[in-house]
Amino acid sequence: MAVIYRVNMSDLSVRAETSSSESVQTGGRGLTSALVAAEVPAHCHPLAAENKLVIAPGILTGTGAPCAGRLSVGAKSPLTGTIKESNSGGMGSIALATLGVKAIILEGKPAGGKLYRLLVNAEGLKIEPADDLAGLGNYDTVARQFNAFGDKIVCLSIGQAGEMKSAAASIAVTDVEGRPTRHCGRGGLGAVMGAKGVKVIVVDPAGGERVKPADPETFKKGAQKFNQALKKHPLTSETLPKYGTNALANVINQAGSYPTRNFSRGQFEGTEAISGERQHDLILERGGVIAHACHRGCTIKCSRTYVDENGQYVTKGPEYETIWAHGADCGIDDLDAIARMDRMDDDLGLDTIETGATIGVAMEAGIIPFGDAQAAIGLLQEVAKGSPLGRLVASGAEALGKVYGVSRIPTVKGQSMPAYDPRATKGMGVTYATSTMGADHTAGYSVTANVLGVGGKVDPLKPEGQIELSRNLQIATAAIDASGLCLFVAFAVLDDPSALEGICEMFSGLYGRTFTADDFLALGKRTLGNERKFNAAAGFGAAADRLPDFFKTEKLAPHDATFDVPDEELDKVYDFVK
Amino acid sequence: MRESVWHCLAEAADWHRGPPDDMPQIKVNLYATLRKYIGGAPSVEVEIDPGQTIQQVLGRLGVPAEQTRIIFVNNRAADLSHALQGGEHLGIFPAIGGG
Repeated sequence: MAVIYRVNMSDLSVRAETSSSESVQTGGRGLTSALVAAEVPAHCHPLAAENKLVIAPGILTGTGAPCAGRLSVGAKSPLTGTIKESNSGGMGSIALATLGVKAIILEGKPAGGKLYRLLVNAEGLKIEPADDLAGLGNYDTVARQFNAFGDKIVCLSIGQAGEMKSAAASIAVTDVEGRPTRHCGRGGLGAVMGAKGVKVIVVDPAGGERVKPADPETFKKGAQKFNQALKKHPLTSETLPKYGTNALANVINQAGSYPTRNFSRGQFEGTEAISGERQHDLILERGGVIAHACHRGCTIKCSRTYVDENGQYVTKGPEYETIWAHGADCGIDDLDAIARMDRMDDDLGLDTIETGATIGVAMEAGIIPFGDAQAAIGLLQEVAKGSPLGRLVASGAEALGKVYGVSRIPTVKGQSMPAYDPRATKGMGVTYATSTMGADHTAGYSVTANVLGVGGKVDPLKPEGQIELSRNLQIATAAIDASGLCLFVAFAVLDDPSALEGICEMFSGLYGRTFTADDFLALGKRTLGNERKFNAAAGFGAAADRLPDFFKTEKLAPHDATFDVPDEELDKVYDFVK
Repeated sequence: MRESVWHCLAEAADWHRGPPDDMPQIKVNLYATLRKYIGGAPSVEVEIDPGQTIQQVLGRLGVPAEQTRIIFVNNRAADLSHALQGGEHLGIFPAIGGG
């Protein structure tokens, strides 16, 4: 039976609601955005009692569908002021789904800055005091939970950044090994969890069971078809497991779209040293692990385990975006230093994209020099101390840039751009500008057709075709995020019609009624519609759907490109929302 | 800034030195799973006859064309039929994704 837990952190009460038929049918981002849009006052302060943190497994999570273990967390974002869905791998989503939990909604705010642990198991949800965890990083926080509750649990936790309610704070999710390496990174949702006084959510899946489809035969047929498509595509079957997400570094650098030294150039001379190819060789030389799955049921296995020169564990991956943010964007070409910063971000509970981009802006401001890895590590140590400079670093690129009088701040709606310069990958620029989430690559990954030759080809240097590309991807992505599927399945979906057929058959099997590709797209459109409605009520109109002006005026080497998709075209992306 | 100027100058100097017999030459950068076809190195310099296509050059290197997915010539997207004149920098990738 599906249940939604409403956890009131003001009076420390818990209400278990049997899901309405509507919320049983949706999940993931579809459910978080529907609930936030319906229940959170759009003008509330993101750290106030009125904001709600909604945690939801995807629709297909827990069914045994391949690559369906993504978790959605939604709220009003302290970083952007918009609605936010932040999405993570790790084991949290499957653990909640097998307990029949459709969503946990954290409401209210406790008095006196106290900290709590939520314990979710087959019996229900309990709130327990956890002041002893105050000031701990994610690694220590989860280690104490594993000691207390055994090694089968999964933790969702915040580090020091979340406790400080910093706008770049993440929510960590433990992986297959029980490490807090997977994060709902974007948008500062760790600060919302911190404002609710929740340090850690411990999920014990013991006694749970697999989600049962209404029509198991159809479901199984779809899962097999989908699995075949993932196995057949060279990206999901070969390059992602072997080289990980960071195989992108050389491609995006070749395309001249690899933001370097705070978005001042499109190519980094140190790319090879921090590339996926180099990372692969180094990990294998040192006895680390490649082709690692971040959650059970993942067949792509793009994760890896990074070890130091003595073979000792440092961190996962790191991922492409992280390596870029702390690497090229800061002029740093030292993979070991970058891996150390990834570990620090994970422990402090910081979004690696926002944090790396903020360090890049700090370098632009002259606080530390470009290329100085030790000084960059020093800035993260300031976060751990909670010093004024550290708090600024944990507040994101826009806040730090404003305080230090920097004019080149690569953000949209207050959120840092990820690892693609919008001048040389213009479809990505359209997504950054118009996404309901602020600058976010995952919201509509136009790099596919712009650079990767996946799902057709659209010239990345021309404005033509980018609106339609971004719109279609934003719709499909919202549906994928609702389903709980990993976004990387999109590479197969875009090239092989049988992948989407398989997904629709899994939905049909789950629901026990026919579910078509049109229904899938309608799910995406409905989700985006809820998000746009919330953002409009929060004061975000067309003028907010723009890139910073310097992208229009400063030419980016090597293509001397500017962002020249006309504003009136950007305003057409959401034509489909009534 | 100074560093990148020097980097460009050094590259340009290398370039103009050229091969001894002045045959047109190109630089082929291969990535990910394609590197195994050139012994694991990131790049190889190849002499060409002007007008040769990328497909022909890959054939000479023993790189299966069907395994290539993303091709750049001087940082711009190109396809296998692109005719080379000499002096180009190629970037050739298999199917790549992530993010």
